[in-house]
Amino acid sequence: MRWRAFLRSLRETSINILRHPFMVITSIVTVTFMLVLLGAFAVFSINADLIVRRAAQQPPIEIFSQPGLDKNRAEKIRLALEERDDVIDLRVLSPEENLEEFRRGLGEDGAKTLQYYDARYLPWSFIVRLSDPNPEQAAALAAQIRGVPGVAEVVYNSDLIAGLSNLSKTLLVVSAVIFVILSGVALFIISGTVRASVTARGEEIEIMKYLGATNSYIRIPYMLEGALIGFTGALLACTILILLWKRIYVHLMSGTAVTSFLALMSVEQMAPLLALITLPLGVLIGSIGSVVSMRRFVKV
Amino acid sequence: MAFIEFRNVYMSYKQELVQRTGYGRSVANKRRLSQRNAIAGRHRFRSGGIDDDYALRDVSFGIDRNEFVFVIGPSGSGKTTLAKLLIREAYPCSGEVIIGRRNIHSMPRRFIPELRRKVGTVFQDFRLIPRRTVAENIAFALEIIGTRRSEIDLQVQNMLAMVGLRDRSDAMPDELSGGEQQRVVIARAMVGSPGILLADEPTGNLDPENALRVLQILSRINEQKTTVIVCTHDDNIVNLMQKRVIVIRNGVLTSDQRVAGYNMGDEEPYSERGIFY
Repeated sequence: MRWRAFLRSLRETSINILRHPFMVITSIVTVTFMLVLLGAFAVFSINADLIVRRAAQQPPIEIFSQPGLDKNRAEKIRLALEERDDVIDLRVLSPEENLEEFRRGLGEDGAKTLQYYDARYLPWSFIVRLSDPNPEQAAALAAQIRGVPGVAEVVYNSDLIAGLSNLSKTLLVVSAVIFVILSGVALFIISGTVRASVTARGEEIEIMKYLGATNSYIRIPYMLEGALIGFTGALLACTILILLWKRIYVHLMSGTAVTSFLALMSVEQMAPLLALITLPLGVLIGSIGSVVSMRRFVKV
Repeated sequence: MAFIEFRNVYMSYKQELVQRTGYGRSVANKRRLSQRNAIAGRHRFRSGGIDDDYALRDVSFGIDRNEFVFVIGPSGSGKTTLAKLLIREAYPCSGEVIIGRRNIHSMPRRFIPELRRKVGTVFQDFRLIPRRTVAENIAFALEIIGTRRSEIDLQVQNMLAMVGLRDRSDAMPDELSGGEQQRVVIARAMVGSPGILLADEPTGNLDPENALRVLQILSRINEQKTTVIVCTHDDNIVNLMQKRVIVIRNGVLTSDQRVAGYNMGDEEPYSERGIFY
C-alpha cells in the first residue's frame, strides 16, 4: 500500500473513533472482559500443564545392572543413556551408594543388620528422567537399554506415565476448545460493535463503491479501527491479568517452595506469555471482527 | 465495433432481485453462476416461459465514442437495470455488455473499481456525503484513487467552474438546492475524467429550469469528448436536446432513433399518453 493511502486510512480511522467514542469504549471494555476471561483460563491451563508435566517427570525410570558389574561396563550403560536427547536428568548410583541408601532406608536397626553386607552383590542403578514423559518414549528407552550388555532390569511405572500423559493431552484439547469458543464469542461481540459503526456509514461506503474505490481502500480504515480496539482491549486485559496473577501467586505460593513440583509459574515468566497470548489475539479478533461485519457492505 | 455494446442481453426479475437483496441464495454464488451463464451464452431463467419474468429481453444496441444517448421508457421498463449492467452493479442472465472491446461481465472482479472510475455515475437521489462540503465531496472521487492533493485542488476548482458552483465550494450539501446538488454530483462524476458519463434520472427531482441547466452541463461535457448516457422517463428534456433516443418498454428495445431528435409520434403507445409514467 502506498504511504499516502496508509496515512489516509489512519486519518479515517481516527475520524471514525472520534465520531463514535462511546461505541469504541464499549468495544474496548467488551474485548478487555473477554480477554481477561480468556487469559485467566490460559493462566489456569498453563499452570495445570506445568504441574502435570512436572508430575509426569517425577516417577523416574530406574535401570538396574547385573550385580557385581565392573565400573567400565557401568560407564558404557551411562554413555548409552547420555547419548539420548530425551534424557534430561541422569543419576548414577554405584553399588556402594545403593547399599548406603538401602541402609538409610532401613533405619538404625536395619543398618546394623546390613553392616557386613558386601556391596559387590548389589547392582549399579541409573535413575533417568525423560523430557516428555509418554509411555511410548519410556518403552523405547527401555527396549534400547535392555539391549545394552550388563543391564538386568528396567523399571518404570507405565500406567502412571500413561495416565499423566493422557491428562496432559486432555488438558491441551480442553484448553484449545475453550480458547476457540471464547475467541469466537469475542469475535462475535466486536463484529457487532464495528457493524454499528459501519452501518452508520453504509451510504458513504456505497458511494465509495460507485466512485471506484477498491475493497481494500474501504476496508482498511475499519480494519485498523478494529485492530486498535482489539489492541487497546488486549493491553488492558494483559495488565489486569498480570496484576491479578501477582496477587494470586503470592497468596497460593505462601508455604510452597519454588522448587516444589507444585510450584506455579512466576509472574516474570507468566507476563510475557500473557502478552503473547492476549495482544495478537486482541488485534486479530478486532480486525477479523471488522471484516466480518463489513462483508455485507463491501461487495463490489 | 461500437464503443459500448449490449449484445442479446437478458436479465430476469428474479435474478435482479437475488442480486439486489441476496434473497434466495447467497449473492456471491448467484453472481458466479450468472457470470458463468453469461459467458457460456445460456439463459438461466429463460425456460420460465412468461415474458414478464424479464427486466430486459434480448436487448442489443451499440453506442459510439463521444455519443450522447437518451435511454427512455416508463418506470420499471428496465432503464435502471441497463445502467446497473454498465457499471457491473448487476449481472445479465445471458448476453454481453462490452465497453471498449471488453466484456465487462467476464472480467475478474478486481477490475470493477477500474471500470467504475471510467464510468462516471449520476444518480437521481444525488448521493452526496452529508458531512463533507461541496469541494470535499468532489475531491472524494480523486482521493479514493490516490491523486495528489495539489492535483485534487486544481481539478476540483475546474469542475466547480464547469458546473457554475465556484462560490458554493464550502457549502454543505443540505445548504444547496436540488439543482445545485445535482450539479455537484455531475462534477464529482466528471472529476476523474471518465470516458463515459452515466446519468440515471438526473432531472427526476428537479424543476424544469434546473433540469434544463443540468442538461446543458451534460451537453457541454459531451462536447468535451465524453460519451454521455442519460436514462430518463422525462420526454420533455428528450425533445429539447435533439439527440439519439433508445426506447425501452417492458424490457424490450422498441425504438432506436439515431437521427437527431426524438419525435413523440414515432412511438405509438407513448405518443398517445404523451408521458412515460
